[in-house]
Amino acid sequence: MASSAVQVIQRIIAAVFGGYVLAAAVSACLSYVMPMSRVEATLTGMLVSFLLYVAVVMWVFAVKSLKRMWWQLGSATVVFGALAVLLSPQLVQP
Amino acid sequence: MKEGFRQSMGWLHTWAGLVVGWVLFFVFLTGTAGYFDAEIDRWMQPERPLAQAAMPADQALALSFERLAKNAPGAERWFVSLPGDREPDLMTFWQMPATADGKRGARGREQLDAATAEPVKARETGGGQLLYRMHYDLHYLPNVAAWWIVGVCSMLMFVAIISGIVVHRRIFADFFTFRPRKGQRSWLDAHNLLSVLALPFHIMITWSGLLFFVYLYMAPLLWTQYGFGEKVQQTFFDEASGRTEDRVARSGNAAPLVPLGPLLQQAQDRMGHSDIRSVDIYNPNDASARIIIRSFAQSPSRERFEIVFHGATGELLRVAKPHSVPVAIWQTLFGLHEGLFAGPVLRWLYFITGLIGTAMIGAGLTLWTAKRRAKIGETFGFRLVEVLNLGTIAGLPVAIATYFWANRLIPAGMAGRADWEAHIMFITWAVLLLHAALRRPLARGWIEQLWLAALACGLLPLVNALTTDRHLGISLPHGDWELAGFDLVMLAFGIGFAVVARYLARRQPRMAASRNFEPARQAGE
Repeated sequence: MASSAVQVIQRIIAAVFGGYVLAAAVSACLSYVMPMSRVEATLTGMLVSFLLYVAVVMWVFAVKSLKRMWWQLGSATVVFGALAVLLSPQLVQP
Repeated sequence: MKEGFRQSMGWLHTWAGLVVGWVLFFVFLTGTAGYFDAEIDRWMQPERPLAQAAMPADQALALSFERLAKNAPGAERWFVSLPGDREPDLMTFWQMPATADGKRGARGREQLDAATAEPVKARETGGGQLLYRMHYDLHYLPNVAAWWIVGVCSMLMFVAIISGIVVHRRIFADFFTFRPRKGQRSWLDAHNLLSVLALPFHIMITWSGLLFFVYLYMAPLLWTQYGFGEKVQQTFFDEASGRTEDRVARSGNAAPLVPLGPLLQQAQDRMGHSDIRSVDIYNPNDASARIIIRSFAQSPSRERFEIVFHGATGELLRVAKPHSVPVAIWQTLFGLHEGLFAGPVLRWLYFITGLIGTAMIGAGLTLWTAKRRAKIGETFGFRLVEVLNLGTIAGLPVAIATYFWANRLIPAGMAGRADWEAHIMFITWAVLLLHAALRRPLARGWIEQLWLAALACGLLPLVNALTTDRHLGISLPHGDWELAGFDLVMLAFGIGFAVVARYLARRQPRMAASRNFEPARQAGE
């Protein structure tokens, strides 16, 4: 069990940076699958991005085990981050 | 992290709110003043006439475009907005074409008197617009840096609000709970009451505030859909507003503009009840000229009626489509945030809920100290919070009042006076933060700064009467409630601050033993 200060610092880093990347990646993926024009899909993604960010931040501080938090946040971020990059109509040229 | 879910959310709520609480207090208070920006503008330019009738719209537009043709020939865009519900002036704007080396062309704007279409002659001032702009550009900082700072603070506010709701289990029952004179308990009850009272407003204002600059904060979303490069943001905005098709290149062949009158008539017939609010002319006196006439719905949807004519032939080219669902949600969130649609009653409600939000933040910050005074009252961190609380919660209102004092006392013709109005405000704030840091016991500091706030606000109507002829003795008999309203609100604030200061001063003897105005034994509860 990590000490209290280490706990807090790790969770702050996970919440701020992990939360941002995960929220942005999931929102981007959402914008790819919305059946609407490019600008409407982007706006929809942006609309949900902050709601997701808040949800992830709260989850990071609610999970009991630090190890589980890193493991789950990490794998979700890697999966959605990869999807966001690979499926992007701009970032990866076919 | 902590023992239970609610404990860890409580921790998150406390710290997310505390670390940026003072910036949020500033953002909320200046933003709230912004709901009366046009009214404050008027008060800060006492040379302006009392309420008067504007000339008919078609005449005002004709005169304004004449001025633009004279002052900005060869511009790529002329724009005129008409006086509306709260906007007293005609406003013109022009944009010259980009220079040969690709730099953005010169631009300019002019405020014209709605009754004469002559330039408004009044003292130079930042007005209510400056207070309103401060709430997101923080005045001294470069724009993008300020937007990021405000964005980070807003995000923490959002986290604090949502985690606060989770923590606060008994929302309905606690709403009717207020235990006065109980130290920490009272601050908790006050914070809860103020939070729940205007909860939808707090959520809406924070979330929509983030969305204004989302293209910056969530830039990766833009990259994935639009790629990288300088033009990306512009393309995105153009698509979102449907403007793309109106951007036509100048043809280079001169062609006179068709008369505006018949086009206005056509537009008005299609708009029905809402009045024409603005007219845009792109590439004036060119064969590719476009004339765009707009009106805005009086609702939070920011739905606008837009009709585009060919400027050289008068042919009707396009009538704007209604918003799609995602754009409508966006526009509605922005519309609710700005409150431009609000009539007098709703505007007052906006102002009051804004003050409630400000007070909620203040009560939360005070609660943090009340709860911890017994345990860590002597640490540096605690002292810092205490000092920032006093210097901001009491000091900032004084500083804003001195902004208005400076408006009346700095000579009307002095060069750079508008800048100095704002400097005076921030100098005052800095001095009061210093006072808070040096004054012991702190309870005395609170009483002194609150009395100062009472005087700074309460005496403004008097200063106004001594320096101008736009005071209550004139505005009230004329029934000019916008102008009188400013003085009366300041008077009310003055009385409010005096009541609190007196209350604290009376309680002082009782807590002479304690260094602060919260009895220490209660802080341990």
